Amino acid sequence: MKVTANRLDNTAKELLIDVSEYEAPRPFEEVVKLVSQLKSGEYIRMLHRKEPLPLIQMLQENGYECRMFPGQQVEWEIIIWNSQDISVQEFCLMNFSNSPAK
Amino acid sequence: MNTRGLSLDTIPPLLIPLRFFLTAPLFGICAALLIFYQGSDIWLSRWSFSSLALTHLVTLGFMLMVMIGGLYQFIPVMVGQLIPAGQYLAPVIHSLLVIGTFSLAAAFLSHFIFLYVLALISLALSLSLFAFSLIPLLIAQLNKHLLVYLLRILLVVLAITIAFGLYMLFSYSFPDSLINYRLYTDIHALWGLLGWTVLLIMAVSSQVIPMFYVTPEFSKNSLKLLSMAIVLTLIMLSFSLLLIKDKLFSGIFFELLLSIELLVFSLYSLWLIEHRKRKLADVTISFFRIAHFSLLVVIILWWFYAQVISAEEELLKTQMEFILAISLVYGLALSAIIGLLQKIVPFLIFLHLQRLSLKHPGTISLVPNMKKIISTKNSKIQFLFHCLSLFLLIFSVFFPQWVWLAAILMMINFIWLWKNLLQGIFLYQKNRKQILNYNYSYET
Repeated sequence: MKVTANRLDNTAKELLIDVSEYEAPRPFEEVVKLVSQLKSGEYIRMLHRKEPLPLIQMLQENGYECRMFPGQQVEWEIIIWNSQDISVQEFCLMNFSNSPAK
Repeated sequence: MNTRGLSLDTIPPLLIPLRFFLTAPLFGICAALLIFYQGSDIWLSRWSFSSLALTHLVTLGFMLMVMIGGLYQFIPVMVGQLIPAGQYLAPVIHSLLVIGTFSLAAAFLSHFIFLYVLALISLALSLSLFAFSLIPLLIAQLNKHLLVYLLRILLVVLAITIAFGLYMLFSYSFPDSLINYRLYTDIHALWGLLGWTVLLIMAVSSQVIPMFYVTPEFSKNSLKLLSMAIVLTLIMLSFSLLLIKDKLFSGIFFELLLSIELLVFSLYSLWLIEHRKRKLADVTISFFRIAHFSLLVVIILWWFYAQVISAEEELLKTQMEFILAISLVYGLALSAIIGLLQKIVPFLIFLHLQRLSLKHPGTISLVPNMKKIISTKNSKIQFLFHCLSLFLLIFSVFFPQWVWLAAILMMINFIWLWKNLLQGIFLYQKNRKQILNYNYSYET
């Protein structure tokens, strides 16, 4: 698994994880692991071939926000961040809230 | 899809699907016991009551049981909506299906009218309740989901199969009514064994194969077209059986068409399996290979049966009918379903423990790897038992003196499956307790 970190501006650092070629439930395992290591100022961009609805439900139940939209390289891109992290929350809401629905 | 404000409900309580999955192998064990008890007589005629009891123990008790449990689990994961009132309806549907299947098998074996009536009422109620609970989903605007499209077709095919079945059951319950049992049985078997079985495997394969084995996705349009073509061909074949007395031309034409449709599905599925992106060693994919290979065998044997064997060769004709049924039910459907259970039950256990672990920080290490829930070694042994029992069942049709051995292997196959599923549940219970206790000591 490859996680790429990019700081997009002064407020948010993106952790990119491509799980589009992993068999179920490995995408789930890898993202949950990454979420548990998420630091202040970071959010996750997950690339996947499926809509991971149970994962999104579980993350939402545990205080994370998710946005899902059609990807450029793969079928789906999912943005995940901790809703308690104010700076990332603002950044993500500004940049991903109007992502087109598929 | 933007998930803001969207309340996802994709995870039904574990017990809803599990009660169906854990009951199904018990019906497989009963079916094996029936073969063992009947001995070589079981393959005497497909019209015998013991072979009717056997067919329904496997198709209703195992296949339909797993299908209903699987739909309770899969529909929410795929479309983000639970099947309504599952917590209340699933136990009722399950109990009625258990009662209906047992009483139907017992009625075939004992001919007690009371049992036919009990089977008629229980099965009709169970399936109506399930169909009723699916209505909101079936009328919802979920056309982009291939599973929903295939499900709609699958349920129509199942409804036609069951309607013919219940009609005959009604006639058994009220013996004064005279109907052409053989004609209706042929149509019931055509829709059930070919229509329902193949479309069920199509719906399962379209979701499970890409998800668990990272194959290219099934083409939505191809499967929509193919499933519709199969249903239309079945309708035409049924009409040719019901209405056209000289069915020689129309029968052969529609049989040829159906064979081509099944051949396309089988080869397409095998092609996708062979073109998976990451060829990880996984024994469960072999179950799907066996399933689709069995369908190829059915197509070849069907033509041998229909074109080469003459009406006078009665013994060979009967033997071919049993081999076709065994290849379709045990070879195609059960291989895929047993393979699916090796994946789906560990996945469910993993999912529920993972959910619990997220609520109890620091417990992620207590969520077992899926391959530890049903080990690769146990799945390999399952595959061996399944292949051996499939081979011996077919072998015993030609050499009925060996039917006892086929029955024993079949029984071991289902006992092993049940043991593996139960082991998974015990592991779930153990780890669940550990996660909850970990949280308790952490908080205090």
